[in-house]
Amino acid sequence: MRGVEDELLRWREGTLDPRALPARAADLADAARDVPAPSPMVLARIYAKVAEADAEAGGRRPAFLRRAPMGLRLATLMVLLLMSAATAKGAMVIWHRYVGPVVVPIVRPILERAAPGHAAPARSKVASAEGPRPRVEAAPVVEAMPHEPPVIAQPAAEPSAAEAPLPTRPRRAASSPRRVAEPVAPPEAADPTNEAQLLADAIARLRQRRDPRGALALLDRYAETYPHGILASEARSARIEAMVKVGDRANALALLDQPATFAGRLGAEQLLTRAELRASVGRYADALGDFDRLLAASSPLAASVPGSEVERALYGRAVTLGHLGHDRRARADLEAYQRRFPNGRNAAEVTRLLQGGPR
Amino acid sequence: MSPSAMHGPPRERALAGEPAGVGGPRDSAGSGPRPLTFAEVYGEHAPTVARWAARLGGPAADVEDITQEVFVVVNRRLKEFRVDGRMSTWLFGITSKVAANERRRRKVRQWWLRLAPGAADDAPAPAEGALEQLEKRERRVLFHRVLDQLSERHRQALVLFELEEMSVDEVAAHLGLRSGNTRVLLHRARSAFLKSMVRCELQKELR
Repeated sequence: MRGVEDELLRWREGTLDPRALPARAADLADAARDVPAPSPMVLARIYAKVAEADAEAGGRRPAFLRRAPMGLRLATLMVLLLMSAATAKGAMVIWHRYVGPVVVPIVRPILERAAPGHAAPARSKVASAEGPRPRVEAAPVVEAMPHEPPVIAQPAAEPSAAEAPLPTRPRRAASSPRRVAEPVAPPEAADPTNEAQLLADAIARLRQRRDPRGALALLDRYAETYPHGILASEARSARIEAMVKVGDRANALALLDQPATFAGRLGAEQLLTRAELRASVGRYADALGDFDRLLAASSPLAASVPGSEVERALYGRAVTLGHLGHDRRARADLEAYQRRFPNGRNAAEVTRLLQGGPR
Repeated sequence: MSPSAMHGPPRERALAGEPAGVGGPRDSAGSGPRPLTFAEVYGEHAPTVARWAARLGGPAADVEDITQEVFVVVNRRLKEFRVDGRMSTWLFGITSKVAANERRRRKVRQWWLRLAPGAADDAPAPAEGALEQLEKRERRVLFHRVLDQLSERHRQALVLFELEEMSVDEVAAHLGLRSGNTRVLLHRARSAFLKSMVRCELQKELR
């Protein structure tokens, strides 16, 4: 035990001179070395206290953790933390999906672009991606209108299909100033970029390539891929436009007649198309209601109806009124048309009707 | 466990009887050291730990409190102790940490209260003559006052070498050092102690 063999000698072994520093240090060490040994009673008391402290500490921890190693305790803590985080995340997802706002943030910019007075999002994308918007042929609805407007009771002045030119000005097909956000698709299906691209392709096929059947095929694919897409309203507008162009007016009218279409709120374009389609199948009273809604000064639609559509609406209402026997109102519309659109597409026909009309 | 069962082996065995690398008794099959129970550890090492607590903590140390705290830690972490490790080394590490914390707390308490009794006031008085008792207590207080000027490592080395009278190799084993490094550490610790002792003596004379 004693380090006699060590080079280092303890202070008490190193020097005989009591005045030397090591000797004085040895004197101090001797005094410090002498500590009393704890009595058995003290040791028993310490043991009891340790056992008591162990019982208290064990009672505070779950039984399965009392003897668990530190690694297992840390792993348990990490698992609990992860479960808490996952629960919080799940609650947040459920809140946003089922309780919170319907519009998810990623699609909001697209909806904002569809603000009143602007083109539909998909259409805007086409315009920005493919240059100036193409001129769009209007729906050839008036072709099917009755050949003999009773208002202007001149057989020679019957507006035939050839004589009643179609309104061919560009029109804004989809947007409605009051359109509301469509139900948002589930996140896994709602990829706004792909959705908008698909719809843009369909509209380009419809208006630039003049291929309504190809456009319908693309629109079918759109409806299959995005049954609740955020651009569903624009897709329905394009579908109606394509159906009219391929001559499927019955289905186009059926689509427009559905209350659920466009959430019951038709835009000016859809309303005008429906009025013309209704008139073409002889539903003059229904058509007159649509024309009146479009042209009523107090209607919120009136302010947003472009001039080209006012021209079509005026002419269509005059023809409808004639079929319904409201000669005076029909003449008033024809005169209004002539006054507002002296160089309109139907100006010659209107002049002819007015000149030959009954007094 | 009865109090008599807690009495460990004689001091010599507790200090030097364990060969390095063996922490517990061998089992009957002789397949190797078996894990020690807390009662065994306590019965064998409690007196040694109490002595270490007194020598590391100084005259004002609450030896009973330090010993209890050490064995609370031992009881909690006994399963982490490697069977093939050296129990006394492990216990000394725990004791030195607990004693250092206790000294730190005592300093803070003294600084805060300014009324705490001096270290000499708490020193237990051996049953000797009054004058000799007073002188020994003063020397003991001075020894620990000098130790307080040293680093924790120097304090541990000096306590083990000068008070516990361990060999250099045993000191190295308890401190987790190599022998050569321990020699260097002891030289520096002793030199620092002597310098500090002279300083403290001068201060005492100037008072």
